[in-house]
Amino acid sequence: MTRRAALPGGILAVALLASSCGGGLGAGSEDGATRVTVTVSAASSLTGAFTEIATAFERQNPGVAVRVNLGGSSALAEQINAGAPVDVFASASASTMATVVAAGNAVNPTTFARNSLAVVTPPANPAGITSLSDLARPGVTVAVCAPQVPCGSAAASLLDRAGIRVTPATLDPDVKAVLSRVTSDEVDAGIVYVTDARAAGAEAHTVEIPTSENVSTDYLIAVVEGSDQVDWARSFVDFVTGPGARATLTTAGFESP
Amino acid sequence: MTATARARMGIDASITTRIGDFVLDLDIVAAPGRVTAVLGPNGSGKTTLLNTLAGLEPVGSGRIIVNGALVDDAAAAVFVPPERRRIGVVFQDFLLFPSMSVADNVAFGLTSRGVRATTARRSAQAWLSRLGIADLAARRPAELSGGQAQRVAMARALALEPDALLLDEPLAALDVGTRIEVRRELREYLADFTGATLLVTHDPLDALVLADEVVILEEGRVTQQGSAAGVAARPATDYVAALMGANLLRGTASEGLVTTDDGACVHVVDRTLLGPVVVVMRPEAISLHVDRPEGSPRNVWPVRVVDLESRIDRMMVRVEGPPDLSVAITLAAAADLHVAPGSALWASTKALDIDAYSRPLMGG
Amino acid sequence: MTTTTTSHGRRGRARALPWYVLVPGSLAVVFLALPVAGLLGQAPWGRMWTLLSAPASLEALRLSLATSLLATAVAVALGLPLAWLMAHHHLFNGAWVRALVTLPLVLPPVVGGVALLLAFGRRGLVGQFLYDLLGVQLPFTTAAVVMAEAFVAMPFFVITVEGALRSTDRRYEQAAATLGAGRWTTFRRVTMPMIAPSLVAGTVLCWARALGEFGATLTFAGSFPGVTQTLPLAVYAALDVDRAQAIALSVVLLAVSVVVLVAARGQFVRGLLR
Repeated sequence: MTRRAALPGGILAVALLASSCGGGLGAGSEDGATRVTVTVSAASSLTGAFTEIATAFERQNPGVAVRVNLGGSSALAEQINAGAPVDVFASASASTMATVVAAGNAVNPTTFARNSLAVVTPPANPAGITSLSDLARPGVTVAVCAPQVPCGSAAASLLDRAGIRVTPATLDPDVKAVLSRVTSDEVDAGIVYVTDARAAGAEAHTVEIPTSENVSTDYLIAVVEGSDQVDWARSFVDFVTGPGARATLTTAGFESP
Repeated sequence: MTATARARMGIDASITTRIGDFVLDLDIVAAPGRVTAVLGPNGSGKTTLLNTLAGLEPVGSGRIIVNGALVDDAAAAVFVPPERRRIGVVFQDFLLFPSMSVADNVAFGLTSRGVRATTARRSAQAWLSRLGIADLAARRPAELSGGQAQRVAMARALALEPDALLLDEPLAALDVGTRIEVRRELREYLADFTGATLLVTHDPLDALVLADEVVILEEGRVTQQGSAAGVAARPATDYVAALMGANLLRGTASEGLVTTDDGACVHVVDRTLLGPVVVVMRPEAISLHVDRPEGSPRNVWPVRVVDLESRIDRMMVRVEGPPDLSVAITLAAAADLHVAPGSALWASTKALDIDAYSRPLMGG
Repeated sequence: MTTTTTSHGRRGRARALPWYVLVPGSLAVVFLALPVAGLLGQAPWGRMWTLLSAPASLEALRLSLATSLLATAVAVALGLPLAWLMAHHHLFNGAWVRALVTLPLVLPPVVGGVALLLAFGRRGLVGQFLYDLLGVQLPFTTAAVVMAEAFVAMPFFVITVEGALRSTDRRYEQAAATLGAGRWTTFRRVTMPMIAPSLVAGTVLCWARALGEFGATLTFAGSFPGVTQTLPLAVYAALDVDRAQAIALSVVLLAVSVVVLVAARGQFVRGLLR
């Protein structure tokens, strides 16, 4: 609260100082004295894509800096509902976004991407996994996300729908942990997002899941109510949902909604 | 005594141990049933000697024989660890185990050697009774006075009925008041002990009162040895001379009055003494006066100065009485009194400053 | 505490404490107490029993108690000899051994978990042989939880006990030897009683640390209910969906720790030492 209140005052002081020195007000945007910062809280599965998108947005809008704050969707939602100074929220789950909307901290979220699941194995694929059903074989160690987090609930409904009974070796708190167990060859397979599988590159072998069996999750984005930079926040949301970010999202493995 | 006869009983050691620049190099024999005092200044190697005999440090070279058994021999690669030597040790600060009761402390050695707990306890109790401290059995060491702790330490060492007994400054941790009393008790226990006793001390009084034999240790070497009286009479080094300044008078006691063999009367505090005694007076405890002093000292003797010897901080005055005494006075006092050989003066001392012990079996 | 030496020197006569001690000291107390107050204030007291008697909660609690006690036993069994060697043997009291023992204290526990994987994982230094030759895989087992907890908690025991051993007067051990006691008897009957307070303190600290272990356990052992999901892991898993559940479990952890820490300092332990 204090920080939010203090910020405009600080900018005002800088502006007054600039004018008293005889500089034109219009010159401010070039020398950076009135540089704007947009804070974006984004689900950690958006790490690669949003870093790139933020850079592209900054290039298009000189004088604007985008600060990307990454974390688990639930934790980020928690922070926003507790009054953290955030301008834009990008969630990896509709239900998490719903909690922010319900708290009156966002309106009209937009679905901007969709992610689905993939099975990954260490590059050598030691257990010879070729399909989802191989995960149920005895002796195969599998890592999935905990059912309490989005990637875990998605994995659970994927296995449920396919009628496969898998006893995971571990239920990890986030998808990066699952991926790291696979790339370090501690487990035979893991269930992660397609985007994570793609980001892992040669460090993991991907076993694709047919679209008909797959489960997808929606990614939603919204301007946070009470933002100090409502205009810039809205134009960042527009940028993400528009054609400017589409190629980046597709390359990362996200599907269009 | 021949070497073989010596080796049969008691302690017979020939030790050379180097610790940095310090070298302990000595032969020492302690006969069974007798008390041998090792007297020396701090840093003379007394503790190293004790630790080596006890087996807490190995000999550098040489060998140690206890009651005919070789326990340490560098050349023969023999080393019997302390727990298998039958040597009792009474440490300077007693080292009673703080977590155990007095009885458990005394029983510790027996139970460690596999004696059943009940048997060990009974034996411990017997030793405590023998040393007159049976009522302390349940106490913790922290609840004992210095004198009591000393007796417990003695009981603990004696309970194992060791072949030899080593005493490390047994009275140094006690205050002056209890020291005299404990010293007298110690004499009695040691008289009953049939093994060899080696007593390490820097206090000549301990040696004079407790020991049959005195070994002077200086800088790791033996500089003089012999009977206590012999060493006192003919000091071989400055250290011994300074040390043995204590006046040792023999006499007969009755009702607090001792008549010395040379005919002087000495008042002592202990009125229970009867028969042959030794009276010990420190030179520092005696004053010299030009005129007969009036006041509290009950012992006043006319004396004549025989000779003077100045030390760094004092004047040692030998006077003949009876009694014949060595008196230490400050250099300033010596100047004031105009002390010179042949001067007639008065010597005085308080009965409280005199130690007197009965002299049961001491030869000579 | 300094008190004035007046004839009526009651407590009220104690010299005033300087503000530069009193203020930061009190601030520290407030700083430490506020999070606890927050936890207790938010705790769903009405539903506490229902939340805690849920099978999942009981399972996590049971697993936590079992693994932390086992880890403590391992830490004591291996740590006591190590502490002795460090205190008394020149090969073990060098800077390197000391640093190695201190390492788990300063290392982020997650890094400790990664290090354990690199040693005992199925591609690890030792783990690869266990896996290839014996088919044994340590990660994701309850044994791995015990290892992670022991790794992180052992230094608390070793450092506490080593300090105590170092400061004991070794001449008591010498005295015991002259009384015919062998090394083991001496250690058991003379040395152990002298360091008993530190032994208890070290064990309790070690156990408390093992009970609260999170990072290394998650990384090395994973998280699966009933097998590797200890209380702290269950708290973390519950945090995203059911805060009430997470706080209820946290309160249990808090309560167990407080009871043990208070007991360790208080009469209870002093009674045991008698």
